[in-house]
Amino acid sequence: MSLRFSHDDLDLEPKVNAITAIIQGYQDIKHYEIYCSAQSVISIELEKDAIKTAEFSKDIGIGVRLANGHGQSAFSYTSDLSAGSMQQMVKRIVALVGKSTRDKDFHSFAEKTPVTKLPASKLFDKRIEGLEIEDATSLVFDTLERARGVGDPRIYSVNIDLGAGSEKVLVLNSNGVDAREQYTSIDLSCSVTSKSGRTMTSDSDFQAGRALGMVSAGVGESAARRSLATLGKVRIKTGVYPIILSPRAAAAVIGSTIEEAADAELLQQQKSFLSSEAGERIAPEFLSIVDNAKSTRYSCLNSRSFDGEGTGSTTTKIVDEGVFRSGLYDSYTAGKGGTKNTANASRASYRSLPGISPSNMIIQADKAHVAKLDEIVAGIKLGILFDDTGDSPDVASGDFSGLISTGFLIQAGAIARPVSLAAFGINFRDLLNGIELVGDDVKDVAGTVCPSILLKGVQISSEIG
Amino acid sequence: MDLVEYERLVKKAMGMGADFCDVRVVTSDGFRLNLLQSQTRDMASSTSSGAGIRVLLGGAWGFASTSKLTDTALEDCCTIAVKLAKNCASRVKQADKFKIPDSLEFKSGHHVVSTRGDYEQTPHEEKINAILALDKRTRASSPAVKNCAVYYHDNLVNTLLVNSAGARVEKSIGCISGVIEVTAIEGGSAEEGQEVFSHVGCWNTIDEEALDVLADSAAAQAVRLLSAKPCPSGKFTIVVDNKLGGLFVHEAIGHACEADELLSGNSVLEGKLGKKVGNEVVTITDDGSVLGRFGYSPVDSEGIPGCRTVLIEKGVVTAFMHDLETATRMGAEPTGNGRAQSYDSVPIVRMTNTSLERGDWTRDELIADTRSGIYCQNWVYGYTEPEKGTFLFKCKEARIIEGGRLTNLVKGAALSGKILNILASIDAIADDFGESGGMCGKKGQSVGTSDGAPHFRVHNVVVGGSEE
Repeated sequence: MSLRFSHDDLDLEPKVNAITAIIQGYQDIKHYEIYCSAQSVISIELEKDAIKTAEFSKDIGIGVRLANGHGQSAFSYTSDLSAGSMQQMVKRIVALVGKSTRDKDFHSFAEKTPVTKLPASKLFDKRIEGLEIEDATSLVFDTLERARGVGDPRIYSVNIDLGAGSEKVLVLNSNGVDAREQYTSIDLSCSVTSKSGRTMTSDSDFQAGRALGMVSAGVGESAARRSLATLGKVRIKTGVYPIILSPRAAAAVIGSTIEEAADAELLQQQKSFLSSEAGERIAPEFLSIVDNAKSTRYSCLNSRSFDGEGTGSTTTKIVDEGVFRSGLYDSYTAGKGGTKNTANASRASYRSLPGISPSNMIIQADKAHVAKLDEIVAGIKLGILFDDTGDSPDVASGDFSGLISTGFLIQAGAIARPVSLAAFGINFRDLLNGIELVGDDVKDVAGTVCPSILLKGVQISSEIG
Repeated sequence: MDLVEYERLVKKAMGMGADFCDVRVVTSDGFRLNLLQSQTRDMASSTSSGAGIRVLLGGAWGFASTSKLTDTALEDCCTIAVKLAKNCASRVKQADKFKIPDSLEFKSGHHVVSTRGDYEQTPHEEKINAILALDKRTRASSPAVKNCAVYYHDNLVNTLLVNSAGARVEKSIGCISGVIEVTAIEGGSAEEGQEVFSHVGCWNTIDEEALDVLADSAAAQAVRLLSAKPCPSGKFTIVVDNKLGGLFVHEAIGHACEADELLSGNSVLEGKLGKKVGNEVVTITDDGSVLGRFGYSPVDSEGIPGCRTVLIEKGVVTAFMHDLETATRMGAEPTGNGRAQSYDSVPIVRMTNTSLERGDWTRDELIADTRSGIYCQNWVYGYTEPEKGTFLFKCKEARIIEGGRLTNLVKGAALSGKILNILASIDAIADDFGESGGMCGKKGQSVGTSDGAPHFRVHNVVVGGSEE
C-alpha cells in the first residue's frame, strides 16, 4: 500500500469528455469550468509517546461550475463518476443557475493565459508517492527518539503528527483553459509538553515541503528544546518595549494579516484596512512583500504552474518598497475590478469552490536593513523576542491586540528568561511602520518566507496572574 | 450495499485478527449560498458519499476511507485498515495496549433516528428568497448600514454504522447553519454586527421570523458600535452575557473535559477528577440527547447513545466526555461523545450541547449588585491553551458598569486569564439561559455543537482593551 493511484483512478479524461458533452446539451449555459482532483493521503498520529492511529484515504471526484449569459452561476460536485450521477449533477447545477441573481460583474471563468510549467522535480517526489506505511512509522519513531534524546527529565510528553499526500489536478473551461499537474507534500510536526514542579508548558516545531527530504526527525529535538526553553517564566512590567518577531511570529502576525487584508474580495467590499491604501505607503521603504507561486526555492509548498482556475502562475508585488501595490485576485474579482488576475484562486479539492489565498508569500528587506540576528539582539537593552501568538488583527480596522503566548525577555543584549503571558495592543499600520530592521535568519514557515523582524516599540498593556 | 453487506466487512476484518472493527457509510445532500453585496455567490448543491473502516488491533488503530462505494473499493479499504493497524501494533508498548470490552455490547443496539423535516420538500428557491429578504431587511434598517453578507449552509446526512460490538445505526440528521454579517459605515469608521443561526432539521421546520430577529440584531449592533469607545484595560469584575458565557463554557471548560485531551496531557483538569476546581455555584453539563439544540447527537459515530453527562457539579469535577477508546483506557463508561465529521474522519471526543446550569439571580440583580465593572456581550473569537491553562476571549461589545448601572458602550475588550482562577471567581449566576449553535473545529474536523449559559459574574478578570 502506498500513495500511488491506479491507472484506472487517474484516467479522468473520458469522464471529463462525458461531462463536457452533457453541458453542451444545455443551450442557456455559456460558460463552464470542470475541476477534477484525485488525492491520496497517509497520516500517522503519535500521542503522549504512543502510536495512536494510522490513516489512509483516497478521494477522487469532479466539481463543475456553470454560468449563463446573465452572470448567473452555480456549482456542484460528485465523487460518483458514473454517467447517471454526472448527468444528475449537471442537471442540478443548471436548475440552480436560473435561481441565482444576475451578476453584471461576472464576465467569464478564467481566461486562457500562458502556463509556464514548473520543474516537476520541485512539485512532485516519487519517494513520497512510494512511501510505505512502515517507512512513515519509522520516521515518526525516529522523531520521538530525537525529542526524548535531549535527555531532559522535564520533558513530560511528546505528540507527533505525520501527513503525506499525493494529488493530481486537472482544470479546464469554456475559454480553452486546460491545465493539469501532479503534486506531493509531506508535513511533520512535533509538540512537546514540559513540566517543572507544578508548571507545565508546551511548544512545537513543524517542517513541510513537497519532497521527502524536506522533513527530518530533527524536528523532534528542536521541538523539545523549544518547549524546555519556555519553562521558568518571569513577569514583565507594563510598558512599551522594542520587539523582535521571530520568523514564526512574523509569519503568523504579518504574513497572515497581509494575506487576509490583500484578499480582493475584502478590498472590494471595503472590509480591509488596505481598501483605501492603493498606491499609498503602508510600510518603510526598505520592506517588500511578494506573492510568488513560481518560486522554486525553499519548501515550494505553495508553488504551482497554475491556480485553482487554471490561470498561469504569476509573481505579485503586494507591497513594493513600502507601497501597497496590489491585492490578490481570482478571475471574478479581477473582472469586477477591471484589473489583472494575479492567479490566486485556490481550491482544497474538487469539493470546493475557488477562494482567494496567497501562494508563497515572501517578506524581504533591502540589504541595508538586514542585520545579523545576534547583532539585533545585542543592540537591545530591554525588549521582547515575540515567538508566537494565537491572535489576529481586526482586518477592517487594523486594530490588533492579544497575547504573546510564547516570548522571551531580552536583557542587556541577550535573550533571557521566557515571559509570562503578556497582552499587547497596536494598530497594524503602526506595526508595519514601526519595522526598523530584519534579521538574516530567513525561514520558510509553511509557505511564508520571512526573517526575524525588529519593531520599534509595542505597548505591552498588562500581565496575567 | 446495506447493513448486512457492511457486517460482512466487519467479519472480514475480525477474521484478519482485528480486536474491534466499525464500518461507517455516509451519504449527504447539501446546499450552500453566500450572499455578498446583494448578489448570490458560490451557490452550490451537492451530493457526496463514502465509507470509512476502522480497525483496532493490538492496541493500535488503522483507518482507511474511500469516496468510491464499490465492492472492490470497500474490500480494499478493509484490508488497508487491518494492515495499518498491524503495522502500528508492532510498535505499541505493552502498557498502552487496550481492548474494547465485550460488555459494550449491552450499550450498543439497533438505533434508527432522524430529525424533523423533509429535505426534498423545500425547493432551494425558497431558501434563496428568504436570504435575499434578510439582506433587504438589514439594508432598510438604517442609513448607516452599507452592506450585508449572509453565509448559509444546510445538509442532510445519512449514516449507516455497524461494528463488532453489536451496534447497528441508521441515522438521518438534517441541519442548517449560517452567519449574518452587517457592516455600518459613518464618518469614516466602519463596524460590523454579526449573528449566527443554527437549526436541527430541514428548512421546512425553521422559524423564519427568528432569522428576521437575528438580522435586526446584527444590523442594530453594527450601528450601535459606531459610537462605542475603546474599552479600558486592567483588572475588572465582569458580568458575562449568554453568548460570551456559552463560549467560555465551551472553550475553557468543555475542551478541558474531553477525555482525549486528558490522555494526551493537554488538559488543565488532569488529575482533578473528584476535586473542587470552582465555586459551588458552578455546574456544567454536556447532553447530546437534546433535540432542539445544534449539538444534537442521539447516537454518536461509534453507536453509543447521546446522554447527559455532569462534568462539574457544584464546583467539583465529576466526569469527563468519552469515546470508546478513552472510556476503555480510563475505566469509564462511554458517554456518546465519539463524533466524526464525515466518513473520512475517525471519531474523536467532541462536545455536543454544553451548558452552565442556571443560578438564582436575575441579570438585573447581577448588574445592580456590581459597583464597578464591565458587562461583556457576544464574542468575536476565543481560544484556550489547555496545557498552559490559559484563555483569551474577545468580546464584540461591552458596557461599563458604574454604581450598579450600565453606562458607556465600549468595544475591543479582550478577556484573558487562567481557567481555574476564573472557575473559582464566578460568584453569582442568573436564572436565565441562552444558547447558540455553531461548528467546532478540532484536529481538522468540524462538528455542530451548542453552547449555553445564563448571565454570570466573575471577579478579577484581566481586560486588555486599547485604552489605559
